[in-house]
Parts: sequence; structure tokens; C-alpha cells
Amino acid sequence: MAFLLGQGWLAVGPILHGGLTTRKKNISLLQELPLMLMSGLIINYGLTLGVQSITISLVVGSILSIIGTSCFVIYVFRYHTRQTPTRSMINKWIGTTFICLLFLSPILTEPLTDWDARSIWFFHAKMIYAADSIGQSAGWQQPSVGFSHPDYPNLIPALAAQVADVMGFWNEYIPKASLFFILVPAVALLFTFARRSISFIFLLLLILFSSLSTATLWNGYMDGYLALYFSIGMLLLGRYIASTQSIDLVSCVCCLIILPYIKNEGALATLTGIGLLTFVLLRKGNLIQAKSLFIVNWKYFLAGLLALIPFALWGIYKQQWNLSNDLEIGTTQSFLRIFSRLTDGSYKLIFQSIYLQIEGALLLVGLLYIASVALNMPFVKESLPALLAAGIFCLGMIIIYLLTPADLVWQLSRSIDRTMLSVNGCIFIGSYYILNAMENKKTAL
Amino acid sequence: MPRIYNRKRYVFLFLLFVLAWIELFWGNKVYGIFIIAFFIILLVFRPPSFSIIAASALVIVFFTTPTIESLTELRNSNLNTISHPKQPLVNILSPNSGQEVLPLEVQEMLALLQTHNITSYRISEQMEQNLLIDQRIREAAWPIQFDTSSSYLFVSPHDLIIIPNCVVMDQREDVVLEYCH
Repeated sequence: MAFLLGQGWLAVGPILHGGLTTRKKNISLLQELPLMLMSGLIINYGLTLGVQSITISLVVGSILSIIGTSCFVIYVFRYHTRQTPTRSMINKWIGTTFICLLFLSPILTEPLTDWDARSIWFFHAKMIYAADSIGQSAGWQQPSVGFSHPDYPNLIPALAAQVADVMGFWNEYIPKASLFFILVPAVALLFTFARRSISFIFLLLLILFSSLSTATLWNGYMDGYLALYFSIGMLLLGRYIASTQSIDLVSCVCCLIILPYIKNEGALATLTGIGLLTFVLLRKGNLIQAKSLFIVNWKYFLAGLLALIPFALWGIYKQQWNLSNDLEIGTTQSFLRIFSRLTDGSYKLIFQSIYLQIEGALLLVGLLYIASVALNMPFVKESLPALLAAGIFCLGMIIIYLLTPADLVWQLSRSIDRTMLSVNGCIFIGSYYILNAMENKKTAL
Repeated sequence: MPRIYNRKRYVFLFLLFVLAWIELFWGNKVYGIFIIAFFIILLVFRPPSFSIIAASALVIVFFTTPTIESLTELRNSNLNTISHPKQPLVNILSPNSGQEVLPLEVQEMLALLQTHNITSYRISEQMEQNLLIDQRIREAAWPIQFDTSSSYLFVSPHDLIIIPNCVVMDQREDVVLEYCH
């Protein structure tokens, strides 16, 4: 964990505070730590892709981490140890730790069993570990590994390979520790919303323990984490609408940037999120204010662009090694398939399958919205980005299913429950904000 | 009564019936009846109670999502680890542990690959048609690679036919290893 935190501080420190040991903004550690971890994950992945060797990435990463951690320790002693932690903050830390430890057991004690976890994500990790490289020598071009979608992003596989490299061996348990490292920042971000309220309990139940769980956070699948980070991104964007705190915006962008490194659908989620974020920023001010916002926050935009370097690097490698996605998006055949499925009625099967997956979430948000109308409440603005995100992402997935070259019935049966996790997650975030607004109104009365 | 409030009540009633209609005819009839019953209660209690709304939302969460199953799985996993910590620690810290989740045929193939220090292998066409066996051996055996030109061939004893130039090299209960010249 310190390995990632140290690397992350090298980016987060200058961005938030203008230096590695100085402090300019009053931001809690609970908000800084997840940013550090997410940044550390991206920096580590970028480093691994850049040097390609796992051993070298670990050595260089460790050096960077030692520098970053040392500066972070100085920063904490200078500023955070002087502050007396409030009861609320202590409870949030205890809650974060408890929830993370709760998930640690199934992550580490249950072996890799499920299909995609073995055939794709941790198989890629094994390939990287065996070759001590994420480069061509890992075997991406071997015909015998075509079933494992070698074009998929490798943030978690690379991290899992590094874990196995540090341990010195491979088994079906220890590489899964990589899942814990990506879980911790998400849980910490959730607990920044913690307060003694029914709505926060709902948030935890809905996001961590309902359809986003059922083992998708510990079985080795990436869909749960994609949905988790996408949902939390929209949660933070919703809070930004109310609070206008820049830390919420930065955290939201960080959650969105990490998505394309988890799964290919993450690119769709990132575009959706960035589009909605732009919409929110433009709604808050006019174009002139948007321009000055860019000039004032140029560091954040630069950091965002730098964070996309690993995405560009992997794209270049895929081109060089002829690793293409089997969906054939953008080809003439894909458009013909869309047209064919729209005309032969197959689209109804897609809609039916999707509805079955999101029925519960729609029921919840529908009832809460109607209840808010019954309480004479104005529309809850904070819920809008999440609900729009759910709709746009769902639309994107409908298009993917329309153009898939595989048999539609087979594709739907194999994947619809996982691909709709992100849609459900965003609808749940919208539900949380409506419930939260009702609870605040009740408290105010 | 203010006009805005009346308009909102009509919107609310309209949305209620749309939701109930969708559920009754396209979704789950129980949910549809639940929606109607829930809001009749909501209309009766004035002012609308947050507790009823929260309780109803909780019921929906528990009945339409696998929340209870998830919490149960987490509880069982943690209780098991706390009660018997030794085995999980041994599993985590042992090389190549966890292979018992693989199909028996794959476990036997891995054992044969290791015993005979084989660096590449292939499997019979019948075995290849079994997607589970095919993918599991390819990923479990890595970095020992599946190679269509390999001399080492795994076949199932049930599909054993005489293949020219191939001799049985070793055998387990569910797989036969042949060497083909």
C-alpha cells in the first residue's frame, strides 16, 4: 500500500498543495489518501507500461515511493498531527478500515474460480508474471491465448503480476491482493459521505453490498470495480453540484480516469462522466467563466492529460502488436449488424434483458422520486448526473449489443448481468441523493 | 388548496399509476401491488412519513438486490477465516496452491506436464470442444504453452483411438498423455 501511496503523493502533493511538504488547502486525509492511491495506481501502471519489465517497474516504483512517502510523512507531521481529530473523522476512519478488512477475507482466502477472472484478468497477470514483462514477450500475440482478449487493459493484471513477483511465486490466492489495493480508495471515498443517517446506510448497502457485490468485488471480475468507480465518480459530481469544493471535482475526475484502465467499457464510462462534468461546469457558469476556470486550474487539466498517458501507451502497443478488439467497432460489418438487429426485432431481446437487470433499481428510484413529489420537494439536482450517466451508459451498451459479432442470445446470457452493474450503480446513486434530500428535509422540520 | 400543490398531486398520481401499470403488466405483479399499497398508505398518513419511505426503500433493496446474500457471504468468509486462520494462511503463502478448483482432467494434465518436464503440449479435438477444459488447461499450464505442433498430446481415455505415430507415455484416471513422433 505504501508503494502506491508514495508514488501517488508525488502527483497529488503538487496538484493540491503546490509542493510535496507544503499545504495550501484544508483537505482531510480521508479525501487525500484515496486520491494518492488512485494516482499511485495510474503512475505505477504507466511506469510498468513504459519500462515493460516488472522487476524494473518495482525497483523504480520503490525509489519513487520512498521519496514520496518521506515527503508525505513530513507533510502529515507538519499539518495533520497538529489538528485534533474530531469524533466524526475518527468514526469515518474506523468505518473505512472495518469495511476494507471485511472484504479482505474473501479477496485473499477464496481462490480464483470464476470464468473471466481465470481466463482473462488473472491469466494476463500470469502471462506478465511469467515473462517478467508486460511487453511482447508476455505472449500477447500467441494464437493459443486469443480466447483471453489480449487487447483488454491491464491495470489490475500488471499489479497482480507485481504482487506475485514480490512474493516470488504464483498461486490462485495472492495475486488477488491487487483487488484490495483498488478497493481501498473506493471505500475511503464513500466514507467521506459518512454521517449518522439512514441515507448513508443505504449508500453503503446499495453500492458495496447489493448488486455491485455478490462477489464481483472479490471474485476477480473487473465489472464490479468498473461500476464502483463509475458510481463513486457520479456521487462526487453530485456533491460538487451542491458544495462546489474543488476536491470533489478532482476526485471525480480521478475516478473517471481510472475506468478505461479497468475494462474497455471504462472508456465509454469515462466519456460519459467527462461529458456530464463539462455540462455541470458550463451550467454553473457561462463560457467566459469556463475559460477562466481552465486558466486558473491548468494544473488539474495537465495532470488529467498526463494520467491518460498509460491509455495512449497501451493503444500504441496494441497497434504495434496487432491486438484488436473482437467487437469490430466502427467497421462496415458492425454497422450492418446494427441495422440488421434493428430491423429483425432482435433489439427487443436486448431491451427485455436490460430491463430485467435494472428493474429493481428503477423501482427504487421511481418510488423515491414519487415520494419526493409527494413531499413537495424540488427536483434533487445532485441526482441528475448519476441518472443521466446511467441512461447514457445504458444506451452505449445497447449499441454494443446491437453490433456484437457473437450470437446475441449467448452474449446477453453471458454478460448482461455484469454490464448493467454500472447502470444499476448510477441509478442507486441517484436514489441515494433523493433519499438524502428527504432526510435532510425531515431533519430541518 | 394551492394550484401548484394540486398539479403536483396529479403528477404524483399519474407517475404512481404508470409505475404500477408497468410492474403489473411487464414486470413483477407483486411489485405492482406493493407500489399501489405503499402509496395508499402514504396518502393516508399526513404528512408523508420519511420512516415509511425509508422502510419501503429498504424492503425494495432487500427483495430486488442480492444484498442479503452478499452480507451472508461476507459474514461466512470472515467467520471462517477468524475461526480457522491456519489453512487460509497456508494457501496464501504456498506456491501453486488453489489448483483444486480446476477440473480433475486439468489437474491431472498439469501433474503430467510437471512430471515429464514438458514445455509444450496440445489436446485432442474432443477435449478442445469442451470449452472449460480447453481454456482451463491453457491458462493453468502457462507458461507451458498450448502448441498445435507439439509432440505431446493429451486425450481422454474415453475417446482413446489409435493415432498413427503416437504412443501412450503416461496415464491418469481421466487423461492419457501420448507422445507423437
